[in-house]
Amino acid sequence: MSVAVKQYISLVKTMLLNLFSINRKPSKVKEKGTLTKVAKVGVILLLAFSALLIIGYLVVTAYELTVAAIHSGTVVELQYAFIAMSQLTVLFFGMASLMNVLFLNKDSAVLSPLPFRKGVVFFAKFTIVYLGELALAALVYVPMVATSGAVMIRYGFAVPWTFFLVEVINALLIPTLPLLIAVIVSEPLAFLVARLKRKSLGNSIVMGVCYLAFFAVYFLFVMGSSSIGETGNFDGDVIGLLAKLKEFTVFNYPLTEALIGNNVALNLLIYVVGVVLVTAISVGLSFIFFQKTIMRGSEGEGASNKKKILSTNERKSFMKSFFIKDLKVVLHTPQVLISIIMTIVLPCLVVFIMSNVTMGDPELEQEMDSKLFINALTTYLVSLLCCAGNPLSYLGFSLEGKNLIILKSLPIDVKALIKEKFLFASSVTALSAVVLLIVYPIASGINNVVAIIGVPLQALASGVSFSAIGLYSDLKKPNYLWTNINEILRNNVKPIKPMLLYVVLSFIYLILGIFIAVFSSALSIDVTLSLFIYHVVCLIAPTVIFALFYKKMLNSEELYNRIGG
Amino acid sequence: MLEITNLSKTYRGNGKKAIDDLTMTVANGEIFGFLGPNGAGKSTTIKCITGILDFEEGDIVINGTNVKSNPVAAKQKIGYVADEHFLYEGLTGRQYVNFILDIFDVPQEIRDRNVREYAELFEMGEHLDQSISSYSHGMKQKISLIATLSHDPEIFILDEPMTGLDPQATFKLKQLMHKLADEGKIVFFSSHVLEVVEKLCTKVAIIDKGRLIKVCEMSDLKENENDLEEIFLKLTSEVV
Repeated sequence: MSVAVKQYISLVKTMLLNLFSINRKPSKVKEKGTLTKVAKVGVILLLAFSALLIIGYLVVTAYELTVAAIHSGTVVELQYAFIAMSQLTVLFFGMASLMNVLFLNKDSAVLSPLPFRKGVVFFAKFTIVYLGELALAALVYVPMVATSGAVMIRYGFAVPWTFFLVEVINALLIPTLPLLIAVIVSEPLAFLVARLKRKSLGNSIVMGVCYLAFFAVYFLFVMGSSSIGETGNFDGDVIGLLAKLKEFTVFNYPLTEALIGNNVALNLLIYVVGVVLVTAISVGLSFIFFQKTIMRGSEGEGASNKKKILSTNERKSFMKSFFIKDLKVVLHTPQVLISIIMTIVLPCLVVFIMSNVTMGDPELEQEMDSKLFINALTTYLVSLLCCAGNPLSYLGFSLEGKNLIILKSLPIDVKALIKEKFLFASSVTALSAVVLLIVYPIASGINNVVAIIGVPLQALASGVSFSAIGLYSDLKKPNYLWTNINEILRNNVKPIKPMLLYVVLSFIYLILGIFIAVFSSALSIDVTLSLFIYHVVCLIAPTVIFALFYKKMLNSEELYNRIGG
Repeated sequence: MLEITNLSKTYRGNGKKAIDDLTMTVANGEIFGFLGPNGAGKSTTIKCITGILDFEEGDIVINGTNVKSNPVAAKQKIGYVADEHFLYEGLTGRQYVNFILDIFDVPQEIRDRNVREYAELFEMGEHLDQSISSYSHGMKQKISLIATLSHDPEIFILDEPMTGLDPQATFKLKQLMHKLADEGKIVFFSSHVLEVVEKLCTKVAIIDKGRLIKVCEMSDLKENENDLEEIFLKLTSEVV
């Protein structure tokens, strides 16, 4: 075995071990953030529940789409769409992983002085990203195509025996192309960013722009492909869109052809050769950019000029000073910034998609008031996203890192510090609520003032109350000894309990909303009154949680004093 | 032999030369102390030698291998212990050491012997299978030393190596540095603790504002009854 291959295997193994922290003897010192049995069960339950929700949604969607495709004669085009959707998902989520693992990971400090052969570090890191995205691609692709195949068999379609086997092979191949494209795009970008004076801010901006661009593409795709005609067939626009998508994703021709049983081995081979070629390009680029980017990254931030230093000497209040400091930390931490952007953008995307899919559905209209249903569905999802998405809500103190100990040495009023952390976290939720206030009526077409105010208010109440409970839980046991921000963003177990609470609460909002929608329709109750009752009831729980935990959080001086002790 | 010729390094951020035309040579068997005030360019020089940072001008040659043109082969000869520790916190100490030894392709017999020997020396034997995340700063320093020593480098580069170490470990490290030098290896280390440098080193270099301002044999200093602290303060204040 060549040295390069040995190094590659060793590095991949090490990164995986580090990621999953397995084969570890319990240490004598109790580790911060170590999973307890309850938390482990909680994590598994939460993951299983989330996966089931996603799979369930995908299966239902794939079922409806396949039936419509069979009626419209666009079954093959639909397979293209499934592959494209999985690739887009990988591209969307993989971009951040790629930037984090390839360029922003602090393990460069360990790896740079080691005698790695050319390309080993790049390939090993790419493998780690690929393995992560493989799970995601499989989660999206396999249930959809399996459902599609089963529906086709049920409707008497001649599905080849290789269909389900090729589906699994396709799932393995799907993440490669979007990730390689992401590498080709991100390497020159990261290289340029590394040459900037303010590298971390540059990284944040680049990642933010990439994210928003992929969001836009993803959104257009989902919007376009989710409209099924009233007769259960695709309407002309969707058929046209599917045809265009097939043309645009012509590089997926071998995968689709293999799936439907045409020259399976040859088509898979062609695709693999294509992947190898693109790999060669991205590896070639990595030879040009990767090492140089890492070296530039090691140089740190450039020194500011004197004028700028002088201009920041003005006196500010404690609150303002801390707020600005926290804002700068967020702007210079791409991983946190992206999560915050997601918290603001995702609820809007959800509103668009949900409104587009359900509004005017005749079957739905027969059973309940569709506006009330959309309102309930949006309230459910938006409440959940505004809680779970905002890392400041549950990591406000941990994000300080080792500075937390230095803060303790400063003459700071603990209550003022806690208030500032709470206000800063809540400002993200407030921004989400303001954006929702504008987007919700436009996206949903709902012009009832109670709904227009109710949904953002619910988002605000959920986010703010979650910040109170989350920050309190963070203050109880902050994980400030991290060396890499990913350690607390990815492996943090503290918010699991509050998140489970909010998953249950949000689900209750949904059930209650459906209940009100059904009864409002059946009993001809005024929609505004129904909406008013619904939102007032839904606001009770976050208000109570906020009242309890805000007070508790403000009186946590003892917890703060315990830090580092 | 470590040969640094006309090395210059400018950080892109401020356009100022962090290292300016640095030339020096360290012979095999020397314990070389690299001194300088904060921000003098010590860490930058070390990062250039170890291939962490790129540099625009000059050459660094380690036992005949050029760092710039043949970085992998040059790194293969270096054992580097950084002043700051980023270790894979999810690994155990043993897993981390083995990872480093895998990269240096250290044969099984040698790795078994060296890891055992150095773990015992630094009293880390019983902690090797514990998670790095549970280690103290000193323990992290020790595990870095064990990983670096175990692959038997030709040149041993240490950035502020005594920081965080307990007195026993500091004593053992000093003895070890002498042993490595006796074996004909280069021990190149930076420190602010002049007393340690004075007792330990065979040769010292003083750098300030990126420029080398003095290289001298410790034996010469002692013969002339000069005090390293006085010389250091005098030279660095002259530059100011």
